[in-house]
Amino acid sequence: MSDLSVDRAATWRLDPPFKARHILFALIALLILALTGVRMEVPRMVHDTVQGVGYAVGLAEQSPVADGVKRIAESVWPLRISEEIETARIENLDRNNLPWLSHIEVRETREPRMNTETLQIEETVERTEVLVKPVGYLMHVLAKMLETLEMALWGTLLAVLLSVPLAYYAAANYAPNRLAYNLSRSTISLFRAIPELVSALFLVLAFGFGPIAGFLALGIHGAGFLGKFYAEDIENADRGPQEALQSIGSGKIKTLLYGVLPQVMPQYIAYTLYILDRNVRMATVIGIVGAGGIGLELKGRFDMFNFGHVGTILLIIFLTVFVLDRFSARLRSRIL
Amino acid sequence: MLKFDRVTKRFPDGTEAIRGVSLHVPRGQFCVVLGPSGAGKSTLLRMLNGLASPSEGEVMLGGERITDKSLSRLRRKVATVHQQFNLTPRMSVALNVLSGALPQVAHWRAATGWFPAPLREKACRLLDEVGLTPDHLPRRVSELSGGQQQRVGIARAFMMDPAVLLADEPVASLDPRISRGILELLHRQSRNHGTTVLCSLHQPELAREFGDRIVAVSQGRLVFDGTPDQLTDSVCEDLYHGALNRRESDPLARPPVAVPALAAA
Repeated sequence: MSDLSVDRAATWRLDPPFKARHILFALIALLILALTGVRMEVPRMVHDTVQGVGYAVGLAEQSPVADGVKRIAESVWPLRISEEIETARIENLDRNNLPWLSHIEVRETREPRMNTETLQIEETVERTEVLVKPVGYLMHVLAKMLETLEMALWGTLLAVLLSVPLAYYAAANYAPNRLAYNLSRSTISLFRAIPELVSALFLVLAFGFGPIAGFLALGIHGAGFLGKFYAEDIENADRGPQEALQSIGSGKIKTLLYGVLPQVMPQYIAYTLYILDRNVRMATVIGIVGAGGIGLELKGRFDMFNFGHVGTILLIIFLTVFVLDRFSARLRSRIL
Repeated sequence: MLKFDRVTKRFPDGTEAIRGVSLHVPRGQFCVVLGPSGAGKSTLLRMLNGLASPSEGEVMLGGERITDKSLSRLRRKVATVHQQFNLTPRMSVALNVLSGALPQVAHWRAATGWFPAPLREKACRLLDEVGLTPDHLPRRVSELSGGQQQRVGIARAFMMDPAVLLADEPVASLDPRISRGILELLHRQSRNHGTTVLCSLHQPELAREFGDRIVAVSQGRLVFDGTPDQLTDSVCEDLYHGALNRRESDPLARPPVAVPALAAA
């Protein structure tokens, strides 16, 4: 009995996990990384970063990276949240009934100016009266952020509406024929292949500056994304319930509604929330090409070197994305 | 009611699941299809609800041949109870039962879940008949036990007053203690509703207990057709030994479990 089992064990084989070809693959991968790493200036990145860290802890004499970071920090801080408008520029200013929280200040600016009579440089004092709104700029940014959020919401809505029929035809087990399947698959790929920034650029030409171009661009890209994932979930759903409904003759749409949708709903909600999250971030960016929202404001302030304003905008974007992230995490845990 | 006329089912890879089976099941009969796993029982049943189509021969339902054309009409008369229940998980018991009437329901009603009142009443009545309580209505089927899930499956099957009920190994994934209760329920419901039943099983003792008639399938062929009394232990042994012999070519792969037929003998 024992002899027999020894003999049998001798015929067994359990190979080690790595073989020569795996090592060869690893070497080739390393070679490719080394070549592209040089092209990507990775060594300089490492050198400059280490130098910057060294400068921060007092080991290095100087560091261009640290200087750059310091310059950014100095120009962004303090954040600019107030707004000043010269009263001379405001029509019908009611001095007894100023806007909320605001007050009027007088600014004195001294400027050296040439006196045309004496031909001497004299210092003149110029008084300007300004209306100061202490949180005026913050309010302006928040209003722009709200517009951005609305763009994201409508972009997501459009993406869902577009992707539902696309997903139905792009699911191999529900598409009526190969033509419809291939058409919707390629439409989805096309939608996904065009970055929002690029389609927004063209849509701004078609619809003019403003949120229309923004949410259309977001909707189209989102549909390409959702269509692919919705379709793949339909294909991967458990066949059992579908067969049960199909076998009594329920028809494709009703089978999809009752045999597939309840199964895939948690994933669908997760994807859609991800698209909403992504749209909020992208909506801030595509504003830069003129598609409305906070991006336009950001670009304007950046071009005018108003870095205090830029800092406020960036902070608001960060806080919005953070709050939205917490919100969608909660929503997901409640629904699933 | 049901008729197979020299039916052969060949799969694309060339294997023959069913070989020249002829079978006639009269109205109202509870006919059990017995056989070891892989014998072709499921394929036989799936040719009646259109989930498989015969390669050769004819399948008739109520005197009409099942073709691509007649299928959508005929399959409304056929309900199926599945081995894995095939209920939609994450959906409520109520909607799972109601989904058994989907072919009768307009698309807008299906999409909104607004089923007509008579169907809702029927769903409640059927759930009561299978022994569930109103508390179960809003619960997800995935929260129920296996036996309860199969009860929901049976309630769903009777939603459209089927003329024929196919039960594909209805108790194979259930605890043996629960199996008898489920089969009793299936038997009683089909009696009360006057339904013709074709039920596949692999336990001879259950087949003897519930079948009006027993047919046995082995390797795609009909090898026995008779009353429960005629299904003797020696017939069972032949049936299951065939399956055992095929596997015994490899001494290491001897099935470790006792075959019910042998245990009973």
